[in-house]
Amino acid sequence: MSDNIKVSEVSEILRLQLQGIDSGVQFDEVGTVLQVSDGVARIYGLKKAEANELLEFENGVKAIVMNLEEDNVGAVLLGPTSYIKEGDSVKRTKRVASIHVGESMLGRVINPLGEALDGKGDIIGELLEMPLERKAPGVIFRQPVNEPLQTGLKAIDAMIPIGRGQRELIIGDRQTGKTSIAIDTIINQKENYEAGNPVYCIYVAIGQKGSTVASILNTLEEYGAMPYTVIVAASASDPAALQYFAPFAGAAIGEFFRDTGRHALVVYDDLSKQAVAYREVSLILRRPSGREAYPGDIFYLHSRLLERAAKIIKQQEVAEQMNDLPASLKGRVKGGGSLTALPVIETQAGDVSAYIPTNVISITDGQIFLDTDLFNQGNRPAINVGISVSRVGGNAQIKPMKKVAGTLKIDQAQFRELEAFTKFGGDMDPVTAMTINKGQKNSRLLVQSLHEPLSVEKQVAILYCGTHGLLSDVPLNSVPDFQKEFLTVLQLKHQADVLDVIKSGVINDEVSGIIEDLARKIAQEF
Amino acid sequence: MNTGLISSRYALAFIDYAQEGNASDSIYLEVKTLLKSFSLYKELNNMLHNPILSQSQKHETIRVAMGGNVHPMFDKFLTLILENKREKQLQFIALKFIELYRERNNIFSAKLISAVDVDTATEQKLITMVKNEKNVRLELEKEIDPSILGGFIFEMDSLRWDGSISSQLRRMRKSFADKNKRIVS
Ligand SMILES: Nc1ncnc2c1ncn2[C@@H]1O[C@H](COP(=O)(O)OP(=O)(O)OP(=O)(O)O)[C@@H](O)[C@H]1O
Ligand SMILES: [Mg+2]
Repeated sequence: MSDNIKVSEVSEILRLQLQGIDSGVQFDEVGTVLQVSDGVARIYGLKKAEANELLEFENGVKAIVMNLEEDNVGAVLLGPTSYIKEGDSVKRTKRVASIHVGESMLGRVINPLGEALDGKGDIIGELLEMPLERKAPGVIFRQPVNEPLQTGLKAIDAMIPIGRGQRELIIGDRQTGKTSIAIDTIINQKENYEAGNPVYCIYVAIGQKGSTVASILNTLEEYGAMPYTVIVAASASDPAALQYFAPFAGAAIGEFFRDTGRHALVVYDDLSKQAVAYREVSLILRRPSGREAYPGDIFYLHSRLLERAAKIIKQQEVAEQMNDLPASLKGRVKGGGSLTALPVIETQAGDVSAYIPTNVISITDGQIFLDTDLFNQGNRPAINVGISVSRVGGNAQIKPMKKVAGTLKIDQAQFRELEAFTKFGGDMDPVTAMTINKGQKNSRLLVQSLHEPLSVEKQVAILYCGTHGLLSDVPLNSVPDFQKEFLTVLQLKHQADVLDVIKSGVINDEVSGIIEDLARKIAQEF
Repeated sequence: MNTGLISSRYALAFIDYAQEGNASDSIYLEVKTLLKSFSLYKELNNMLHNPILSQSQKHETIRVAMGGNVHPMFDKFLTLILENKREKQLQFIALKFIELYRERNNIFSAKLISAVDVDTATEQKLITMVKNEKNVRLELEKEIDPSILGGFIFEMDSLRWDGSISSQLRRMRKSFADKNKRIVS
């Protein structure tokens, strides 16, 4: 349109607007749907629409602007395609896609738009608007990771420790226990919640079956984890766009807690399915495709999502200046919060060099690799210690754990190698035999059944027995019984002089003396 | 793939060509008929996307959709589009053409939807209200839609002023529903 007929500036209309004739009625910018198929609508009009803006159809279905072209706007539908027809009119909302977040969301199951899915009614109470897409905090607003996030799993807390604000990838083939690790981690945060220092959890289920999400909800309810947890679900039958936005919604909820000075943990289960949903959307929008038909910006998709996990600086004055703060958070920002991310990636036949796995491995601060063979041998959680790392979490381990488990990772890796050789048979020298014996006992110690997270002080105590060879005379099959009895006695008789001391970050000769005596006494029973 | 660029280029070439032949006014009306057919018959677009139909079959169908008699220059343009296999973009090209034509001729289009017929006095008032620049030509389209119950909806370009009773009721219902939700922003 040329300058002399700019519609919105016709003076009579401006005058009407100034007079505020009817504040309820205002000029809407509307467009018309020209084509709609497979969850994407091409809209004519809406010349001023912005990327990522939320659009609304007359029947209430929402869409998000993805493509801005010369003569049309491509938008992905957040509702069923069949609800939208050619010729429908659609209007701008002048808001970027966002979700309303608040405390009252805890304990609920919602979709990526913040609408309740659990049939318990609307989410009410004070809600803040958080944009789905938001820039990650800059370097000066961050602080190094230095506080542990306890998963309650011995193998992880001892060898691949995770810190608050870290991004640790859980990667493995299907049915190797990826989800279980994430769920156990959430369950383990109950202790913090009860102590009044909660780590709020957000479980984002992407492209999973509705029944799977329901059973996860059941598990979390059963173990009392829902009061501090939100489940964001975009299941397999939801539009691809909704699955694509689900992790962003999870991140936005996490940021609400992070920027108000609290701690949060977000699980993206799983980003492989999100990548597939994004590929679908991109192909329908006719964006050029690259490797494995994924669009060229798939790396950016995951990096900008995962960069939002952060530990925010403690200094209040600096934290308040944080970049890209949404208007709703102004005046509520508190420093010292954190958002930890546990993305999940599913591999095919253990191939970590495929496109999406390599991308996400390079973005995250480490990975927990789960192995089908280990899983089938009964080593559960089936963590392949050799290729699992945590690049920052070590700084966040409590001192006693560092001391006790410092060499456990290397020892276990060496043991696996030796074990492979001894499979050829032949005699063993006593040193090798001892290494193998210890390795076997330790692997057995690291086995942990579902939903039985251990507190960190108990982990230290039992791992002390393993790494100091106190189990050498216990038969391999009796290791679980030994552990059970040892921990029971410890809790009953040595809560104050062992467990509490370790918890406070100290392990001294007195404590280790008690542990050794007790272990020897119990070992004799087997 | 930037399909947007394709339609703008075709539309620009077409309008220049039509103006050279002094036929842009009648072609403008024909393009409007074509667009009306596009919005009335969804099958028209499907037909253009159909890979089985031959180009000549498509050409014939477009002619029919335009009411039978097509300006020779328009017909030539259709041949060009079909030759280049850009018929899928026809609707976008037509929309772009209308936009360009209105821009070049200072035409201002508006639409008034009301529940009952408006009298000429009101209509005239509306026209003068919008049209306070001398060289602007206003194309006012009127539609009667009883389902809006009362009031009127006024559309200009891509702006819409929705003062209908039905929308006011809808807004009221929504605000009742939102009453117990407190949103701070
Ligand atoms: N530590 C464990 N001890 C015993 N069983 C376990 C353990 N971890 C997982 N399992 C079992 O393994 C199965 C697969 O676990 P899970 O669903 O966590 O795997 P997944 O990798 O997320 O699978 P999917 O690829 O289907 O998402 C489940 O039946 C679960 O009960
Ligand atoms: Mg899973």
